[in-house]
Amino acid sequence: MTTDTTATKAKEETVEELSSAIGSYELMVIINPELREADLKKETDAIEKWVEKNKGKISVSDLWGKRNLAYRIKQHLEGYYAVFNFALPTDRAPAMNKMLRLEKGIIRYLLLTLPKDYVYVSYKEIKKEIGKAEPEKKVAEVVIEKKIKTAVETRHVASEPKPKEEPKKETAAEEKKKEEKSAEPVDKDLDAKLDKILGGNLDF
Amino acid sequence: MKRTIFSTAQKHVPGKRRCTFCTNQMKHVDYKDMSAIRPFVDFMKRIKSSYYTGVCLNHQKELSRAIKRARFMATLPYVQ
Ligand SMILES: [Zn+2]
Repeated sequence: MTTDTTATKAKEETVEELSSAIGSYELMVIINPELREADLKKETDAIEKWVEKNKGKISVSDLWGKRNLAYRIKQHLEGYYAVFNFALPTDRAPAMNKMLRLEKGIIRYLLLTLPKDYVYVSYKEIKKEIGKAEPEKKVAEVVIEKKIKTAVETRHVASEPKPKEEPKKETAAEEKKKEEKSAEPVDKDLDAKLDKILGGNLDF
Repeated sequence: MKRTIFSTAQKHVPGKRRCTFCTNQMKHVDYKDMSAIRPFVDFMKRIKSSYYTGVCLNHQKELSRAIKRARFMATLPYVQ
């Protein structure tokens, strides 16, 4: 009996070893921006602990900090970005997906397998390069921010019901904003034209 | 890290590669590297055609994947 059980155990172990090949993964997470720093650390620690618990090994954990999002995610315009690189048994990856999906502080995540000859470049170095490469894009970003702000303001004005005395002021303010709004698209068009003119020559 | 320059403006010379990723000897395109991605997205944030940018087929595939990942993680907008 004893010999049989040991034999089966050995068999199971070999099967496990065969099934659990180790893969290298990258995880990028956007964490709720309204969390405090202590809670933020809890979230990142939870991920790291989970990986170590499941026989994984973390090679990189890089916290990018608070960044503006390109569009709203669950009504948030900002988010804490964090990137992890780690090795993990491949059969644990689906479980990790599930864990991340159920985690409350995480707004969005991306779990990827890495190519073999991958070298991680830290966020600071990437940021430097962006700063050097394209100072022009900042103008466009500023324009978008303005647009969003004006949109939000107008929304507030529209949503708040007010007594009868004030409407004149409101309308005046709205007209001003409309003028601003009408001025912006022109700028946008100009930018587009400039891009076309400048980029068009270069393309050919 | 050595500084690489990504341009969409390499003239077509027959018999010569004009893909910037090939000339920079990059095997993969990283979705986190915005300086690599930005030149290949137009003003409306659409992916530029490889006909104009001269990116080879392999790298265009990698590039489009990287752009879509960047969009999903909100480092790049879907539309403007
Ligand atoms: Zn290429």
